[in-house]
Amino acid sequence: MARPNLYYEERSPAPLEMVWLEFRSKPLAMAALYILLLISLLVLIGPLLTPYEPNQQFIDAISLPPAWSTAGDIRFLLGTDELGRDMVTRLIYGARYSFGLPLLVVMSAALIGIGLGAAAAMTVGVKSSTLKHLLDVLMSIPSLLLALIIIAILGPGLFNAMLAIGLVLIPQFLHVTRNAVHDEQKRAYVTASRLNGVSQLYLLFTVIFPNIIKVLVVQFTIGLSIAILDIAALGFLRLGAQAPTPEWGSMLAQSLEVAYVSPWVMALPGLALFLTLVSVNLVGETLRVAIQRQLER
Amino acid sequence: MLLDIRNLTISRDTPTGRVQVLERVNLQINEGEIHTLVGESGSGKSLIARAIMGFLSSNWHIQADRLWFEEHDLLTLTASQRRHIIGVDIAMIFQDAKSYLDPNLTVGEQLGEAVLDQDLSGRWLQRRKQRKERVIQLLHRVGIKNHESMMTSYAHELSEGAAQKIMIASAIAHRPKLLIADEPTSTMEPATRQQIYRLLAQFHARYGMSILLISQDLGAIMKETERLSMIYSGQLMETGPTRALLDKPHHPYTEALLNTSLYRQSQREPRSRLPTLAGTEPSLQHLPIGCRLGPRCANARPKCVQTPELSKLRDRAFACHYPLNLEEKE
Amino acid sequence: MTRYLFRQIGLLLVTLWLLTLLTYGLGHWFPGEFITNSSGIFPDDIRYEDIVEQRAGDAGILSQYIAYLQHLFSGQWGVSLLDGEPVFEQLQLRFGATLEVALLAFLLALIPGIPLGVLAALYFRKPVDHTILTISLSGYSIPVFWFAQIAILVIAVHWGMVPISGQINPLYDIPPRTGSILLDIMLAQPSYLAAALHNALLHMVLPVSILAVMPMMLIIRLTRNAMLDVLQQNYITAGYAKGLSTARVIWSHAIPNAMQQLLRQLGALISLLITNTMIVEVIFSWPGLGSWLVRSIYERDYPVIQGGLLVIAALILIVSIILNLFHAWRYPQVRKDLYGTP
Repeated sequence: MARPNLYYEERSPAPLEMVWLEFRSKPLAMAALYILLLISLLVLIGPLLTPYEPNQQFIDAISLPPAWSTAGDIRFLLGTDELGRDMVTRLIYGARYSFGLPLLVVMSAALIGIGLGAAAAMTVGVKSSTLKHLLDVLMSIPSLLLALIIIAILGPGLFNAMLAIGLVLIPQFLHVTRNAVHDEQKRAYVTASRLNGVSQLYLLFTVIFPNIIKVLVVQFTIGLSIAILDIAALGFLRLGAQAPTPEWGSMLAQSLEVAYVSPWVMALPGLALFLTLVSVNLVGETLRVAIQRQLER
Repeated sequence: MLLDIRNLTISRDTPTGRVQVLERVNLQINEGEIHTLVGESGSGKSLIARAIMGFLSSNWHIQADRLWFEEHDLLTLTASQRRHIIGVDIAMIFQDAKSYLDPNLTVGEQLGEAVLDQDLSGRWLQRRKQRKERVIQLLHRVGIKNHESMMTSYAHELSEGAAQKIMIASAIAHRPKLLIADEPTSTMEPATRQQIYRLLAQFHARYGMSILLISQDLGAIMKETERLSMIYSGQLMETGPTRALLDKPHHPYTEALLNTSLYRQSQREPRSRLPTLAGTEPSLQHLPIGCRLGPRCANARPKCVQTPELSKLRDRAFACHYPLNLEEKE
Repeated sequence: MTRYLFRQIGLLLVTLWLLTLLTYGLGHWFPGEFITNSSGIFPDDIRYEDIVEQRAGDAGILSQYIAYLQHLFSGQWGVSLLDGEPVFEQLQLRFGATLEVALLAFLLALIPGIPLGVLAALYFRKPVDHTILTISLSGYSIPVFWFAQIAILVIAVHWGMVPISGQINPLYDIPPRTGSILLDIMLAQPSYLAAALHNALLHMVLPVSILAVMPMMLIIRLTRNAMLDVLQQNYITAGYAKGLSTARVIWSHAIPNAMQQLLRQLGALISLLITNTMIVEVIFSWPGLGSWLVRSIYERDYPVIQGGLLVIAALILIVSIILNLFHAWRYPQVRKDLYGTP
């Protein structure tokens, strides 16, 4: 930024900018962010890059190891699985199921949850601590268990798994939003705005919202991490994505029988999942720390 | 000389470079003296106290020509050596005393920690008993009579005044030579403040304990104060005996503070404007060069962009190129 | 404290009641017929007519629900649709097996987790801290089902150090009583006690240690954050001002207060532990609640789903209430905050 500094003046960065500056100073977190952007790119244009179809089988190339081993074939960079399907292709397609779909699920859940949460906090309704404690207790039930219940009713399948995870995440967003808005409402600056006679909607969107957006972003990364892991776990338990789908979790489940003979079939989807999760968690944790440090200042 | 500080500079790194929050401050405290440090909030007066105690974290940089307590050079001591000396000879009490009590321990347990081991003798059980007796004694000394219920209380059950008394009890447990009181009464009502001040004055009289009192309000200092130091935006403005300084201030800053305080209320015309300093305190990012009071000073002149040296005049000292009230000398 | 105790117990009863409503509702929501779903008896069974009578199959929802509760309390939780085994008896065995691995893993996570977290906080922003933090963040992100597979592949299959799956070699013929294999061996007192224990422990090494990894990483991070928060508090400064040594301040002021914060966040940990237990049980064919529940969902064994769900959810609720109570009992200032909230 070549901004000519004619006057003795400094610009103090805005709060959100400060968080970003703090975030940018962490090389690991930036690397994680780039990885996530790369995966997002694969989700969007993956099919343009892959040489084959995800379920295309090559009879002449069954269980080939990755290309750099002596038995490998350069046509299949990361080898093939027991049915002769190209691993690279399947992994890239898998990003759609294991990162794209969870992202979509979390976005919808966040939209609904935040809306409901804000509405619940702004309207004068049931504010008893009993209800809050009740919600707290219900929150302590693991998301995977709740998803299992929903799948038990709806039956296994990728769409049902997504629906289940979405339904599980909505109350979490609702809870976080409601609490954040509630805490913010007690602050003096909100009271001041209210005394100025602004409308409820203005109060919510212009006064309160910019101050809780950080909490919501952190909750979003937590939700994304949960969604990715749970959808993969359901795929692994054969309750989510079903057999030929190249979802990373179900690829792992399919690889079990051949894991000893061709370990790369098992290692690669897990590695992809691990890389994605580590990136999401790293970004989330760094954001959380940055926000906390800014609050302390 | 109990405490001798020469040219203490404390700086910290900010995103825009290193800032000297405290610039070449001098402070001398004699044995058995009550010294009050007056400055606005953010002027760096608490930093001095924390630098003496060694509480500053590593992102603060401390330099000084001299930072001596009795014969110990505090700058060369390691943290644990310093704590060894300080724990016994220097004690500190703070504002917002409640937050300085551990919420999970009873008052009795925390006071017991402050009792010196060398004051106790005998075996474990006897020592335990003595420790308890010492705690009760300490509580009585700070004027708390219902020691039984106080010792089993937790911090959240105490009032601010009671918590400050506990802090004082814990501070005097070692019979320190110097007590640093960092705005101990700023959140209290005047009546409670007087109580706390009376307590401090009592210990001063009884044990000859020196007190460094830090205050942001010239109107709320201990009346027993023997010397005053005025600090503004990290620079020492003026120091001297209380009476002389209040009667004939040499520094414009002291003059300005006095003009706004109750000391000169009688001299003011009824319904006249209160003469205040123009402008606001500079922020750390925009410290003026030279005398930091410069931009706000009524009689600032071009020379004021050079930092004035501290000039000594008998038992007083001031840092100003154009001091006031010096007629008798000229 | 008494007031708080009653409030928490009241809360527990309300949530448990809601839970029974849910499991009762599940009987209706599952595909198929309510009576079959909750009792496990098919309509072509000769006992079917009696069961309909007992469970008020033709009556209104309220009397149906009351009949459901009566069956619930008398331990008649129906039979499995697959093998006709009574659900309640099976549950007891599986519960013991699950509790055994979960508790051991929890202890295994706690013992190194807390000291490592404290260590990281004490060396804040130093290499030690960075190392611990990086390991804990990446360890937390390893999908447990993948990690378990790799461990099986390398340790159990390739090196052959431990068995691949199960609780104990069936040749040892230990009659199941509590479900917890170690307890069962002790109860059975076979002549080959030492050998049986050795075999059971070998079976346990992998599931327990894999289960412990993720909670341990979480404990490290929670402890570190709690310690960092506490170390900035004024009472730590006050401890130094009293002349206490660093070790003394850390030991008697910082750690107890950090443990309080950790305790408050243990709920997240329990939830993580239960999730992972379910997955690990499936992978290691551990005869616990989780593997049973997952299999029953796959096989659409509705009475088992209802029973398993009820037990797992109730376990979590009860544990979290116990944690709350312990927290309030151990840390008096918390109770005041709780009363303070309107």
